[in-house]
Amino acid sequence: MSATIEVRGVSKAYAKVQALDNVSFKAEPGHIVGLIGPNGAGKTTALRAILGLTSYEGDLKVLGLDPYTQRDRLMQDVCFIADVAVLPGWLRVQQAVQFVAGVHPRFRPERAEEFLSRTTIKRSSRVRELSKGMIVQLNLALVMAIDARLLVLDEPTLGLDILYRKQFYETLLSDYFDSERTILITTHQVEEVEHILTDLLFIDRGRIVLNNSMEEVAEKFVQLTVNPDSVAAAREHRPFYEREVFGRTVMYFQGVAGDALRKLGDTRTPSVADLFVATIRGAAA
Amino acid sequence: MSTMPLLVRREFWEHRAFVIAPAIVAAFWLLLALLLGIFGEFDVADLRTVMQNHPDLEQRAPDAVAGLLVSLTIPFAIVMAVVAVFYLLDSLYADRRDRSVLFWKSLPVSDQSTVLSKLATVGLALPALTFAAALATTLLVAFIACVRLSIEGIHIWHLLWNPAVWLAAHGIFLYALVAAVLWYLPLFAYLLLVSASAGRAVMLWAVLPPLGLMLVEKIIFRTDYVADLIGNRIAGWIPLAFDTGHRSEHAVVIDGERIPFSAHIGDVIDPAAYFGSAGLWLGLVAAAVLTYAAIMVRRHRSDV
Repeated sequence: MSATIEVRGVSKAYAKVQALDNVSFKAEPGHIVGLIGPNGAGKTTALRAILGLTSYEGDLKVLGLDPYTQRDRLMQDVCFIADVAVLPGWLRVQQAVQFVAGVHPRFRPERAEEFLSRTTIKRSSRVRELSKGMIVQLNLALVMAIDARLLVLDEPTLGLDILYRKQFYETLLSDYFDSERTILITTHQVEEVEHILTDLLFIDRGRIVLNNSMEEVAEKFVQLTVNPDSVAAAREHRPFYEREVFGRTVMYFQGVAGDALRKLGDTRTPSVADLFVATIRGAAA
Repeated sequence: MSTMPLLVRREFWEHRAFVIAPAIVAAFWLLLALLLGIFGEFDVADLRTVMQNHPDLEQRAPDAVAGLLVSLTIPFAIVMAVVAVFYLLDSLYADRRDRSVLFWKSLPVSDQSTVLSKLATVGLALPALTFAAALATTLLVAFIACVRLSIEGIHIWHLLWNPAVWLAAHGIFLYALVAAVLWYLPLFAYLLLVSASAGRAVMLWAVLPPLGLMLVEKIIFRTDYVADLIGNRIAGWIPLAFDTGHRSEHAVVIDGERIPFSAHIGDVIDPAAYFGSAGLWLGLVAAAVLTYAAIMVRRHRSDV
């Protein structure tokens, strides 16, 4: 099966900023890709280009289509959840279901109803009367009832409390995701998604600075909490980033054999959040 | 295109003024009719004398009734025109302001369908609703009037409930609605384009460019072509679409234009002059160009 998203040499410049600078990556069916980057790194621009909401230079195919010129066709197979503020306040829950059912050939209203019946959302409520958590549930109900091949999530849990955030990802994994589908997520709450991701993309100042599967990350990257007397020895292995935690030095290595490092302190695979900070800061240093 | 009715329905969900505005006009007329019907004082004897002294009343009544009915319908059209202007300015702007455009664009609906659905709302749905509201209101008002006069012993049922009169009055109204909508299409499309383009202050963006052009022209060339063009686009259809009162002695005056009325629809309307006018067809061409521009802006604006 061919890649769901294929980005090759895509660039996008605004008046003053190079939002995307020769970006290339792929996302395959059955993968959950995390697109992680600091504010203003180009995440949103990348998502918008994939969703056909912005123009770009370079070669970009989503499900074999050109998103910018074929957005309406592409959206039959792509779902998108942005942060909660995106459903219009005047829309009633039943109208939302009715509208999507009317315009989307792959929407199954009974699935949305089934999902909504598990919540306390009233069908006659307007979106503006719902809590943030309920709006996300409504969004999920709409999206999960669509038999789509790509789901794009842009900060989907922004402003939600921990219970809703957990529930959101659990529902996504248990009721939605399968080997045919691709999910692309951007979020700042890296800790919550790192266990569900299969692939990791770091983007910084418009460039992809890391592009690995989670297995590759575990193989390639080592976080070493260095024994106080081994700092100099550890530095000889050329960490790409180091920092102080509670008086101990923590170093990050790429492609260095774990055995050599294990003698110098405690090793482990870095968390995505730590790896992110190390990669971005290390590149800046 | 099979989704078009649903897209138009969506507009009615969002804009409740579509229903509330004609309901208010209808309520106003009905309340007025009821108040006059209950508390109004008529000099019944005087009315009887008038009816007896005018043996040609039977012939002249249809004209008067038709005129009365047409007068009742006009406020509906004016209120709906105001609603339409505010709606159009809002239609491609509000969802960008509250970012819900991201939701709408995440559905498989083309930007062309979206923009055309707004135009269909104003060009088809609102006129149909206006017509239905006016028809229902005139029926009720006429019924109230008949009941009141019957109580006084004056029976005008046969004068009022003359199918030919109703056909004429509402025929004229329907014709006027169609003529006005077609004439105003370029204005509607212009408002859509402004709504799709403006970053904020849509009303200013709609009003300032033509006003600026008028002013610049006045100062530099001391002429008024732009002002005349705009004035013609607002009221120019009336003298074209109607035979302005040469054959009919009765008329309703709007915008300084005399709209004649008569129980004979043929005496009043002048479709040949209207549909043969260059203004109509040039306007439709302009409407097509402006609508296409609105679709393009809607599609290519990336800073949603």
